[in-house]
Amino acid sequence: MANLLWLQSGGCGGCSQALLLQPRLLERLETLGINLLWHPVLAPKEEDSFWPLIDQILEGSVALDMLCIEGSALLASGGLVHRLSGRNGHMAGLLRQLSGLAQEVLAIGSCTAFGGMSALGANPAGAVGLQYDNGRLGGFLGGDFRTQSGRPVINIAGCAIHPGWLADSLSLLSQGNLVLDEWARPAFYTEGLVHHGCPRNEFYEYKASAPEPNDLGCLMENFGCKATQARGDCNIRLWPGGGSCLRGGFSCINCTAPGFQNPGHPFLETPKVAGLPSTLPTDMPKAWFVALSALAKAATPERVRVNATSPKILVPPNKRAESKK
Amino acid sequence: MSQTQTILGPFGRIEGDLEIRLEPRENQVGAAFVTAPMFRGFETMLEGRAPLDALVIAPRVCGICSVAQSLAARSALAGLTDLRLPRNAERVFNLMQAIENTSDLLSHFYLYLAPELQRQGYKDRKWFAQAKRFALGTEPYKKAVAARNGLLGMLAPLAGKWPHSLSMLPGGLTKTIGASERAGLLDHLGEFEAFVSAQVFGGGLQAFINLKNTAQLADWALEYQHTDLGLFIQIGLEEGWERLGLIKTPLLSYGAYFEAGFPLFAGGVWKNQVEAFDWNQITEDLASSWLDGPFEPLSPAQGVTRLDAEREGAYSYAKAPRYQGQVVSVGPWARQVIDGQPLARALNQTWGSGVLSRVLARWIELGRLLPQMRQWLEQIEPDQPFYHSGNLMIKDGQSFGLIEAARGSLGHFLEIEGGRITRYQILAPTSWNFSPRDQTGQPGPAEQALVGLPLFKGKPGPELGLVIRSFDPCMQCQVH
Repeated sequence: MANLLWLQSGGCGGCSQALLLQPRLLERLETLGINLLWHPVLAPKEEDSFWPLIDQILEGSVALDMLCIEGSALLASGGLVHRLSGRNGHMAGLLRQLSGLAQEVLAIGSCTAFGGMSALGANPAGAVGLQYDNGRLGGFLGGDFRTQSGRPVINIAGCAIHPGWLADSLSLLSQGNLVLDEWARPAFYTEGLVHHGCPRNEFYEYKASAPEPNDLGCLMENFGCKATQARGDCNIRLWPGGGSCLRGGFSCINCTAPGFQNPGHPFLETPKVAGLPSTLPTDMPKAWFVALSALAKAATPERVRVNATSPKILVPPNKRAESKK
Repeated sequence: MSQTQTILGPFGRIEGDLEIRLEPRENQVGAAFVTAPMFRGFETMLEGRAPLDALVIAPRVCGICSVAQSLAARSALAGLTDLRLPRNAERVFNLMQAIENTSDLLSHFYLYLAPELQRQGYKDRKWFAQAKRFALGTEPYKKAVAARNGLLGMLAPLAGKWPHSLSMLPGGLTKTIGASERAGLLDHLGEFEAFVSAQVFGGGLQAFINLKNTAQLADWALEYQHTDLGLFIQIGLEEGWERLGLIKTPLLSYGAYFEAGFPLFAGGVWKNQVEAFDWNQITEDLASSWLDGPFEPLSPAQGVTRLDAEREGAYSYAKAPRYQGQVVSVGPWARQVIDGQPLARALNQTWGSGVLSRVLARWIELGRLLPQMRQWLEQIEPDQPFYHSGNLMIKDGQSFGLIEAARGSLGHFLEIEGGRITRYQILAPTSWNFSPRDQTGQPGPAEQALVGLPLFKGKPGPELGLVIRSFDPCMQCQVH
């Protein structure tokens, strides 16, 4: 059995709520031989068992195989912004102690990985990611930190996480083949773009943009959608129940990326540089993009042009648009 | 004094970290102090941002009630536009809120509260073996989690995803709901209804909602003792949990699920009768808070949130909200009493505001919401608008949005100046229920509910866990 301890700090609890959405979660943990020592929702023993458990871990009489931390480390006022409950001291101190003992440390959600929403703007609580301060290596534990198994902190980034990202990471970890990307995120969900599988792809191809927030067209040009840059399998894996941000009709805010909370522009607006959206794909020469866009716009089928500016499909395939509305 | 006090925490099966300090008086709790030990500072972080950024940021205050946070922000922002909400959007927003709330009402019972009945402190009770079905990881528990997930899955076609959706805009919904989506949603709702009907009520839901007094309730529990709720009520009555955790504070509800200006659950303030609610009567007091600010309690519309983590005399990051200077409590119990639901009123008359009343109110509310959710779904008109176009620009000014989240009254109060957020104050349900003392020394509702609990060698019995959880605290939300 592998012991898993789950603690929360500077976050909203949403990643735990999302985790619960994983179908047959308890069965998956059982299959993987994971023993939940403590999780704020799923496996709390009685109140007075928390500190004896922590003491046993600190003494080394209970093995800590996996430490899942949900929420940033909070460092303002010497860490007092997150005091411990039931004892003196602060959570940051406990997290540091436990991290040093764990075989694996998993940062659950973008707050924990990079600072995320808890490190928004002026960041009064001094929120910082476990091994990154936004995009800078370092963070709370330091860039050189390695777990007992010799690995960096595993960043299950996302706001909130897709439950499958964590469940599958646990499975791959137990098989010994969890591959991490350059931000120490599991590569299996960051090797593609959120754009992949977006139901609005055809509108994107023709640069047929939505003029209103609930129109069907592409959201990149007018509403700050970052799906063509953002990494994640949201539109392929789909959220429990079969949704995604784009399927919900709203822009991708790139929540798996470090620093997403401070985009430097209003979330729902697309900053333009010389008339071009700053959200263009990053791995394509701008001149080509401009040339292709001009061609695509000229070649836009009427069906696509009309539907892009409507909340519902007005023109089905193989039928010429007679008029809009 | 400090040698004899007992400090408890952290608590599992509540949302977020909580510490409780108990001071004994003879063999009872003489005074209780509840501490919200974590501060993030969303209110100051929102300052300076573009107004619509609140729609991204505010739901991240709380991953448990993110729809409620979004709708409160949406409503506050809409107050500074000329946009009107189409009827479809109103129905879909109500439906989304009802889904999140219902999921919370269910989760509260199965994930947070009922497992309490398997505490070692109860193992000498003759019902202990029967209550094994409430333990973590049992079949009923797993079925409840699956039912919760099926219900929350409905938010995928409605809102894209949960938690943290960006689908709720001042002008309406970012998508439309087609007839086929609606058909699928009705199926999912039917699945949830079937679970509730079978496992929770054993076919006795309507009979439960129609109960008129506590004697009828006891009869119902006997008749339905094979159901999860019937068993819980029987145990509760045997243990006297109707007298556990009693408080006498007024109750507050903003009113919930408005359609064309009319609420499904009427709002107001309960002081042995319903009085009209006036948001201008709300103030927040910083006397016990690790926050810096003026001594005089302020309206949240004028509120400030500045960290002072080592302030002398403080013991929580939470503020102490008051209504007309009084401590009030919020939540499903307050909503149902204020709305005048007959069983809730009867429970209040006979028992008052105790553990069993607060727990039963959740099931009363859930039972009332189910048919309403179906109605909202059926009333969606796929061919009518879900969004009213118009100027999305948020005008300068002050505004607020008041919502009933699962755990009670949630308010967002904001100020826009020069196209930027200059003030953003959030008053969450747990802010009311887990309030610390104010400058006049009045303890908050949970602090009052703990007084009088028996202590054994200075330690409380297992009932403390029920008293705390009967309020369903959400500490992340409370301090934000």
